[in-house]
Amino acid sequence: MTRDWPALATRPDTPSIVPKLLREYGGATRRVVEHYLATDRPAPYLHDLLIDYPRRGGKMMRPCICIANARAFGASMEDALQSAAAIEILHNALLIHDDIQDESEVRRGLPTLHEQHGVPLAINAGDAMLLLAMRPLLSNIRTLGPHVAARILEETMAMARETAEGQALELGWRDTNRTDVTEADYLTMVLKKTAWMATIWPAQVGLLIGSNGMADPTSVVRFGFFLGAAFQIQDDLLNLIADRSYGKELNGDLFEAKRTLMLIHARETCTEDERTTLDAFLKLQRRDRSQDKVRWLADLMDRQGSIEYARTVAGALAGAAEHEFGRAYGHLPPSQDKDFIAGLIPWVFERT
Amino acid sequence: MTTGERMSRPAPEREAPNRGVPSDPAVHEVVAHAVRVGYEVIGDNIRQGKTAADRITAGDYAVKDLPDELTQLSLRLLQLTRDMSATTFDLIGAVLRDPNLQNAIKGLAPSLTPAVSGKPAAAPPAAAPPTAAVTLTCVVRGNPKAFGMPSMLQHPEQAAALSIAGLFSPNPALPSLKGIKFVPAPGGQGIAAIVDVPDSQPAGNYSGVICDSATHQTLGTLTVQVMP
Repeated sequence: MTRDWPALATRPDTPSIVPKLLREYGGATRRVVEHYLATDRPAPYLHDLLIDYPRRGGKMMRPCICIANARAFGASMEDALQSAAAIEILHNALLIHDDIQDESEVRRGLPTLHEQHGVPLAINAGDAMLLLAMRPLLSNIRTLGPHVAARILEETMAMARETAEGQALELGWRDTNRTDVTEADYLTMVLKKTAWMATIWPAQVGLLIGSNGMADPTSVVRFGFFLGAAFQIQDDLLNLIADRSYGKELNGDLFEAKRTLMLIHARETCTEDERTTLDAFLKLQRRDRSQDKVRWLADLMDRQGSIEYARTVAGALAGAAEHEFGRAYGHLPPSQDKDFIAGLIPWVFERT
Repeated sequence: MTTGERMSRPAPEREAPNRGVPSDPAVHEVVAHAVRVGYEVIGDNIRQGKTAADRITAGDYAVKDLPDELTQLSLRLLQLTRDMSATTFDLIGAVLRDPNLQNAIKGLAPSLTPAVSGKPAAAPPAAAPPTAAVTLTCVVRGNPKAFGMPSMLQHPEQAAALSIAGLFSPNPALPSLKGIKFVPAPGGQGIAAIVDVPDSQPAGNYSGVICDSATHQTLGTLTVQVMP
């Protein structure tokens, strides 16, 4: 079935406070990250790898969510910087491991770490960063007090478990060639693999800091999920349609046969013959998926309207995120940080 | 108008409010479906999380506010990190031998030692609004089966000296816990109550009311549980 999905109602533009605070909070976080990762006596085969991904840039969305939540709930940026740095280091550590597991070739516009240095050294660097991320979290014991520090560690453990489960789901589906993945399965995977780490956990950490451990961190879970899900679907879309500024391998998700919303929709709506061809494509090893085969799959998604379908779903989830924003943050007084958090919803769709 | 001819309005261009949403009913269906599935997914996850949390807190693990418990939390976190890692290096051991991390954990202990009973309460945390409650951390010393319950302490109306008569069991036959001291919590975030619990203390819950000694204003309660 081919169907053209009309665009959703016009979304509001991203407020200027979003890029402003991404620069401001992101810059402050980078300095703390450097403090933890860079040393006076660089360890051979390790130091350069540790600081590689963080120095490539990145949007700094995660640490900025943490700082903005902390400030919106009443703390200062300085109170949240240690945790923001931990979030960014942990994110970069997981990127290294993700790139290896996905056999990705490009990250932030440059060859991935394992492409440059080999898999063993890249794994080692990722491991080291996972552990180095614990340092600023443990420093919270002194700066925020044991109660708040313990709550943050507890939420970190929950996030780590959810993220590992989500990554296992995605890898497992691919390795066992699951073709019956549903939209609900996909959103469950996105919740665990993406949203918990990217949006829910940073918001929870900031909320705990800002409220001195008094606010309930579950109050931002729904908002974080819908924002993170819209973010992930948009990321999947960019992988198909973005230009070189995207910073990742174009069509990389198709080469990896990632179970994206577009793939699920295309498979559900295509003809029997097309489904047979598609299932044969999914069975292949990545190295056997040629440019021609990938182009056929991209064309299939186009014909089935899967890209527009995914855009529509992302818009719907963004609408749910707006609704949940009111529930999670509506009681807070107006502030630029509150505006920033709300502004992330349209920003998700404007990034390239 | 001629006799017998009825007046009628022209047919409206639309019969429903135009709220800026697409008119294609298929989009409504897609949007509604996506949002419904999304809420089901997050609802299931939250329910599972609550179940897991109930199981955990009913078992051998609960959040505590003490350096020892933080050590355990850190160990669990590092264990989880190790589980996530793709290698089998003994990274946990390497981290735990790191003197900086050891100091970060152990460094809390000395700040809890100069306890003076009845000392004025610590300044409220900078992040909290003036009317917010203060975190009350309970530090239990002695009996390893005793656990303090974290709670909140109401801000006194003016600078106060905290006092508590003791912690008492509902069973009057059981001995009470005395000599409780209040100190500023590490990092200036709230107040810590230090409770000495002898090994011989019978199992049960022991609670007491914390007051401002000058005005007798009730500021909160303190509870210690001694496990069997």
